[in-house]
Amino acid sequence: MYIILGYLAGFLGIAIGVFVQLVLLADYKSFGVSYLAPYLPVTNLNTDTSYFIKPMWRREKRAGFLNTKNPNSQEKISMAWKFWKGNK
Amino acid sequence: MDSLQKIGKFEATSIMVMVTITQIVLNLPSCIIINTGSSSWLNVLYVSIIAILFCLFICKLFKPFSSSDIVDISEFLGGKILKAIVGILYILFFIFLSSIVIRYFASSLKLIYFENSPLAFLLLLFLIPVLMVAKIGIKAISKVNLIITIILSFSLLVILFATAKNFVFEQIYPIMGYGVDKTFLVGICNIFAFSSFAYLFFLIPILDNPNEFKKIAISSTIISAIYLFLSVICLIMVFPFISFTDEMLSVYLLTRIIEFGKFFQRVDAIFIFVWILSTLSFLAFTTHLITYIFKKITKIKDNKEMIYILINLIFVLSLLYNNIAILKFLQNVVFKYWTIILVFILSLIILILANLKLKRRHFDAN
Repeated sequence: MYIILGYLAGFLGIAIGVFVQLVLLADYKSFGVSYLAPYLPVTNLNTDTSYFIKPMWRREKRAGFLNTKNPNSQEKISMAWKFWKGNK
Repeated sequence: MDSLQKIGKFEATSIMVMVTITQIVLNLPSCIIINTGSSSWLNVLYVSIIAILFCLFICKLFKPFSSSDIVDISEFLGGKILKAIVGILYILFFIFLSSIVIRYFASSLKLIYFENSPLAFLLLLFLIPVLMVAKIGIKAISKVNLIITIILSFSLLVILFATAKNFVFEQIYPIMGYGVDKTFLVGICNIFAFSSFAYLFFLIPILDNPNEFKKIAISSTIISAIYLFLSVICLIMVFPFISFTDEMLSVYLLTRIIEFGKFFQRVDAIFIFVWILSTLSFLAFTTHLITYIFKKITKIKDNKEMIYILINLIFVLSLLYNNIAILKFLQNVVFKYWTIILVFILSLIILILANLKLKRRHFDAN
């Protein structure tokens, strides 16, 4: 399709194809979740579902786009045993 | 916009910024520089401060009318007649703006890349995708607009900083340009650069959280002001002739002098690609806004077919202008004063009077 658009209108045609495809992708949903999540819509910039993820013990929040009942997956200090001194 | 479709704060901010940056690309800095000369940077600073203060005042005036836009407030103030008048004025404003933007950009593309293509073909190539995405809805358009605005903002920064080696600092002299009166008194008319406020007046009902309206308004105004300032000062310092010649796309001239060694040639092509995306996004949002206002003033249930009529109207109107000189006159004079009168004077008066009416109503009720 991009070849045809490029043939018809060059750079303009390709830009049109990119724009229309982006809008269609932004509109799609997969099992109720936006196709371009977590990048669009921007809900939580501290998401753990992107390229840079925190270590397991720091992943306290679930992804916002899942609309879960409980947004917290674990407590703030998940490795509490590390900070115990002596008996509990 | 559909009643179910709301947009977030980042999408709303990106819409406002995109409107300003699209106009920056389409020769807005040149309009300012021609009027004020070498003191344009000073004028832009001055106008930006006024715009930010205006924005703060507007936010305060909108506060008692939660989830209402300017058309609803006009109805509250003056009934259906004022609502229809304000609605029609804004519809005509947005149609006029869309036709100018699309004609200007298509004419520029024709000069740069498509010398042998008919202008109508280029205009249709802009309008047909707008027709296709209009059916999808405002939410998807605003999400894509967020990506495009980020890329557009970044590309404009690259242009402005890549041409830094060509800066000649002495070109900002004389500091007062054509005089203090041209810079500060007559130059206040350059507030038309913030015509994105027209979009701000319709933003509240489509926001996820209307309480974030103030944050969105101020952040978008500040970002727009920064880009406007950077583009103006860059143009003044790079091109000595810019204040007395009338270029088609002055920012495009900046892209032509960018050099990244001998390997990369014609870097301007990338920027044209991004500008085409931003123009499409701008047109898509503006046409959706026009159908929304039309639906509001006529109270029709389904306005999706209106888009066909609207696209036809914009197409015909954009073909109406005979040449670039008429287009520049319409952009520099008609659009300028129409923006000032409609957006900065009439809407402000409506908001002030509506607030006074509301206060009086509360006073009478007590």
